[in-house]
Amino acid sequence: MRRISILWGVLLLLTAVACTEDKGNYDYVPLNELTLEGMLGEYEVEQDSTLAITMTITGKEGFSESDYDFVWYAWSETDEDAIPDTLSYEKDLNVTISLPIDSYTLRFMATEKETGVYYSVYADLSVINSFSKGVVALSRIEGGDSDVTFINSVNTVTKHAYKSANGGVSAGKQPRGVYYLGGSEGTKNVLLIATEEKQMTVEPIDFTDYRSLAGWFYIEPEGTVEAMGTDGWDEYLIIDGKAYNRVVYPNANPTGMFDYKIAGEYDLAPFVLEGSSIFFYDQVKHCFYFYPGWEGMIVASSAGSAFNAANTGMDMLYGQTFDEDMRAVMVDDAGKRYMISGLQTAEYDLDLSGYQPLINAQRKLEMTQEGAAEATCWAISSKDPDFLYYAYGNKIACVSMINGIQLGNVITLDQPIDRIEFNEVDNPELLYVAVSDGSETTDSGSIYFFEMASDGSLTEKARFENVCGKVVDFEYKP
Amino acid sequence: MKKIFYGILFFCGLLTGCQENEMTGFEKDGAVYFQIDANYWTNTGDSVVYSFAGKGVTEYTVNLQVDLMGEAVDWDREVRVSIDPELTTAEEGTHYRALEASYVLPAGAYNMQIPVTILGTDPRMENQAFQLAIRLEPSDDLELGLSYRTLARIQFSSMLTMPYYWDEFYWGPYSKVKHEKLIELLGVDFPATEDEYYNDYNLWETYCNYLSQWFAENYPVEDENGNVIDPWYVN
Repeated sequence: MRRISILWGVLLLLTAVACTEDKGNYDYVPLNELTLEGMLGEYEVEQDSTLAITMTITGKEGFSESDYDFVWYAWSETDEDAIPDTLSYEKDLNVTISLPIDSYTLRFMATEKETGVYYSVYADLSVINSFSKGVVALSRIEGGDSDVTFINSVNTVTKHAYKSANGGVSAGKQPRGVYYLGGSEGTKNVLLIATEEKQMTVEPIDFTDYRSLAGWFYIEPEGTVEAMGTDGWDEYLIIDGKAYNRVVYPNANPTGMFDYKIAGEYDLAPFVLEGSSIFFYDQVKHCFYFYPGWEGMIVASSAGSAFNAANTGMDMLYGQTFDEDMRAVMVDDAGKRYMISGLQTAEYDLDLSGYQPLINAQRKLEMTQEGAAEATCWAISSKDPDFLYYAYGNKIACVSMINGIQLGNVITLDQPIDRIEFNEVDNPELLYVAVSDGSETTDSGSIYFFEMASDGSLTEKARFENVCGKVVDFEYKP
Repeated sequence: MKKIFYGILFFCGLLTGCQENEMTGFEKDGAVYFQIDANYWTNTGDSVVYSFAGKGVTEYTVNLQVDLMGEAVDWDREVRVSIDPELTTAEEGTHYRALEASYVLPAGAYNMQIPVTILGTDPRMENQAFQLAIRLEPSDDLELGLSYRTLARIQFSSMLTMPYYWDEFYWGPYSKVKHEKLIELLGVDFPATEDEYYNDYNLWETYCNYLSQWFAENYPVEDENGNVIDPWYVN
């Protein structure tokens, strides 16, 4: 009974407290909400150059710069342990960037001095140098010598990049191609510069020699690299018509070696048809191959009536695959040129315990368009695999691979075109075009960047005059 | 009175417990045996086969592993060996360097290696294999362990011999012609041990692929028995 009385007493006391007048200060000052504008989503800046960003700040209750503290800082996206670098305490950023080459998050903060309330915005910041990502152009100059030109992503041109990095030594006579090897995570990335005289892999960050191509093989192959391709698990080189592969799946051996050539009697066209599965084309037997990783090349079956993929009767002049969309320019014995389209697939059949590679032939159109018969180079973008660009003389035209209709505008340049190639790594709308006067001398060539539109037309985006010889190959280096 | 008697008795017992413990007989608490295949205890093979053919060396050291039965101790122990004259055809100085009379199982160790250097300079080895048979002997420290593992044989020659691990990999049927072609084309011979093969697995797979393609491209090539060597490896 006594306990019940005590409980009643406590409850009554609490009730009394709850009824006490709340004398708290609820005279709140409304926040002056700021809007920060002026920062783009991403910036790419070369080391030791200026990064300037002007911020426009507005507040609901107005904005007075003197009421705020500002700070700009950046932290590495690749190094978790890195300490953020403070860039500026000004409202507008205008600093020389001396950060190491890396990817960063850039942050701007405006903090109200009185309340400590802050507002911030972010952007991606990529700090690059002359040799950071960009396009490599391998060209032929005096005496058949090689020249390497590099244009980075902010359009800084480095001429004679290989010679400069290697004490004036040439990359070799008769250049053939340049390839970026080892794209998978954990794999050593190198650029392979292939010439008929020598084949060298170089450090992508400065073009210094890394090791000769032979150093990537247990048994040195004979011949010159003609093409390279990868599906992210295996990497393939075509050397004088034979395919060589090595494992490059993520975090495999960083410097894995290439196996001896894939067995079989075949003679490959210099194209790796790298879609969701890797196919090759036999320039002699005129058939398509799939390589399952063991037991040699398998001839792809043919389906569809547009052409016989098991024996096309044509040589491949240009070939490219995007996902399952195989596209190629072919020539028959009579010299007639055709555009062919098909679906390339390689399904694993559990019952047969093996892959069933197939080319489903969709279209074959004779190329009768103006200049098509004289075209010397071709390019297709993953942006639209049915747009075929071809260069003849000093012109570039685009044709639909569906119906053969000419698309967009025909581009006419000042000099004959030596090479066209899309950036298939991070900007498939960007077409690299090399022209030269044909003299094959130093600085006789120029490079253009064109942007492809959805109707197939091209618009010039940049021009780099007299930066190379006669270009034989482009390669984008991420 | 009775309590005092039992108390004295208990105290005497304690005194006895403090007497120094002499380690009589403790030093033989262990036995040894050969473990020829160091990686697989269940492999009871007693032989090591080695060929100098294609190796480009005139001597080679075979490390015979000796394993301990029992616990490791904190002092070195003596492992004694002898040559079995009945089973040995190799000649000391001509075919192998003299062995020590004893070796040491180091303190704390459960196994040790006996290095045996064999020599490949005798021209007779081109046509004849020699055998060196080594027996473990009891020592003051160690008894003999598993009776069927106290003898090790090293058989060696300069003739081509099939690597004992041949069938573990993808080299197809063994033939001397195939083996010789490997040495001729690549200038190397198979490693002495399976471990060495595994250490360079990708290299040997590449050699296998290369040699198979050579036989495909030069088809038909016959082996020493007149049988055509078919390409056996398709990458």
